[in-house]
Amino acid sequence: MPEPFQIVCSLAVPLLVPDIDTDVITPMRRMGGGLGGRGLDYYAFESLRYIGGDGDRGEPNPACPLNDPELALAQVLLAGANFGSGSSRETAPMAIAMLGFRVLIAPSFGDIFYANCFQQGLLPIVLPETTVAELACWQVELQVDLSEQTITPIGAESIPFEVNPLRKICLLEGVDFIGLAVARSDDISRYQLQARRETPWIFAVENAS
Amino acid sequence: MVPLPETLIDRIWGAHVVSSLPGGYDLLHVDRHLVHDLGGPFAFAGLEQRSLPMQSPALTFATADHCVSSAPGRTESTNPSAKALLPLLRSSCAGTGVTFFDIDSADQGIVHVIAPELGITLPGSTVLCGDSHTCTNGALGALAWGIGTSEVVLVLATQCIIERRPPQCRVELAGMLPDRVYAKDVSLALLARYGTEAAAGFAVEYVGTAVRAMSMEERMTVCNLTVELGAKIGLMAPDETTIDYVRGRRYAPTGADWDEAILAWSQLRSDDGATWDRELHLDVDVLAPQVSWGTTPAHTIAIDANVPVRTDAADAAEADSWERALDYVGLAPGDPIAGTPIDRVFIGSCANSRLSDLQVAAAIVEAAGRRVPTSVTAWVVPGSQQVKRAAEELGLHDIFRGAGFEWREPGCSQCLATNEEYIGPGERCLSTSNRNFVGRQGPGSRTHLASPATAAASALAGVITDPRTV
Repeated sequence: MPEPFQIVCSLAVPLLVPDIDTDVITPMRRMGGGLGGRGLDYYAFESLRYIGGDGDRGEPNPACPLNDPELALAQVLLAGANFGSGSSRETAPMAIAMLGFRVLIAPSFGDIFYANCFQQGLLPIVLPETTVAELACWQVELQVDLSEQTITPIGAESIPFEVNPLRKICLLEGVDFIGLAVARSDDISRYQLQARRETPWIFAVENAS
Repeated sequence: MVPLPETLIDRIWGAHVVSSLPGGYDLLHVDRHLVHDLGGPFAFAGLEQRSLPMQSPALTFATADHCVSSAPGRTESTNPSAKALLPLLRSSCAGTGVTFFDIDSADQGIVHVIAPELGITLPGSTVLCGDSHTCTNGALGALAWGIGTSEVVLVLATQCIIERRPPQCRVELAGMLPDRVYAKDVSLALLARYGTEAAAGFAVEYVGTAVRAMSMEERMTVCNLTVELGAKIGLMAPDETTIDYVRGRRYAPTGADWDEAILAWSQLRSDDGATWDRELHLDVDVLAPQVSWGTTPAHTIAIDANVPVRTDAADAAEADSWERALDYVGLAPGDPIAGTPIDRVFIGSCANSRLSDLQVAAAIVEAAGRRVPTSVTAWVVPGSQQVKRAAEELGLHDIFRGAGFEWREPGCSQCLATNEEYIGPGERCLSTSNRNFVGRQGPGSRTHLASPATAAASALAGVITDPRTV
């Protein structure tokens, strides 16, 4: 279960390459037993973070902003357009959360990736490309306040952002959709009681063996 | 007050709302949850991690399909992924009481083949599965869509899903299909005309004379490919064909339940005056057999047409993407697609592995009266044990084997090769599956999508072949 979302104050890692897909974030060849005892985060962004794109050689690529020692504790990632596109792979937001990020800011996200972020306690924020570029350029600490739906770069004006009200409640309370639905188990039982009367043929399989 | 006209999708959705949530979301009841061997073990592990019990194990059905080998005489030890994953799913199902059609079950098969075949999928029901081709089940008039792993955990724990009602798209398929043109050709033609984003984010209802004339199995093929149009949901209103199909199946309602059910199902249609957010249309009267040439299902042309050239593209970006696709598949712009030599043929997958698909393919084989050349490896992978048995009773396996096809065991097999049944790098495969993405059938594999008739005709000729010429 994700931690409740507090106000985040952090520098941001600028990774403004467009179209970073879920296979770049968590390479398929490293999934399914290919991790060799290493965490998802070790191979995350493997092709960008390691020299030769090879995590097994393990030499960090100093040119990659994700390896900038100044930003080692950053909780905000500034990304390019269409971030997280490609196949529905929940390991992608999982790995990003494991790298310590809580907020992703990009001009656009892959649809499924965007939804999956919330399941991992990550807040994805869509801002215009020029704004994302400005934030990357300023290199200042950002204060991300989910309750107020604002991003405030230190010494600058607040920037408002949109988020679905239910997703917001979930992040602030630290529950995901599973927790949210489990908390409504009485409603579910009541629905099933009524449905067993109205559409008994759906539930007849419960009596079969 | 007169109620507003509703679509079929509205009607089924509304009947399943447990409660409304903020932000436009609904908590919806899931009538049928299908679990497979690739995602199931991870979802059950997620449930265990949270120490949550299963809410309604009797409404969940599991099968072994993605990871199992299709080799004749296969067991779970035949290939590594089955060996790793089947024991996990088996023990989770045993522990929770979920019905599991195991590798040696007489009902084992591809999840979207067995769910309709066993009467698990019912008209008007909600059907979810951690697989994007769950929309196949919409052919029966069910609201069915694919979900991600954490959503599978959610359904296991609550028998519910949290989702927003999608905008809706009506697709009219008008006219009657010409000879040797099939449901698969209809879907590929839709994709060629409207593209892979045509219904992105929408739920699709198919209507029209061509839909009504289709058998249940043909409808499943059309609904199967809905996801390639970008839509998670595709369905068709139930009719006599649907009810005749469901009647008497293993898990279908019986007795008084059946009588009550068919009365309710007769109400399952969109009201006159209902409106759609988008409408698409295709006349099928003059349709030719279709075949894909590139790396998305929308990269499709009529089998007697030529591979597109740059100037056919809408813009430079499309022309560039075509160039990359052609480079990958090793074809030249302007070449006729028919006559292209192939190395492999795969007849199978949740798109086209049902009895009628195999009958069509076998009829072509009989009509052609020739053998698969030694340069081609041709596989027939029935969608389920039931399909396999029915085909064998009709002697189809002898027809295929006699012509040099391999007659294999049911599963997803080469459609996505998670059972290690790859198409080799650079190999060209004529496939009845639904995706021709880069590397889908194995690194470097080149896939051409087509109907079972086209696949059979091509296997025998060793080159991509118009089934109308057989």
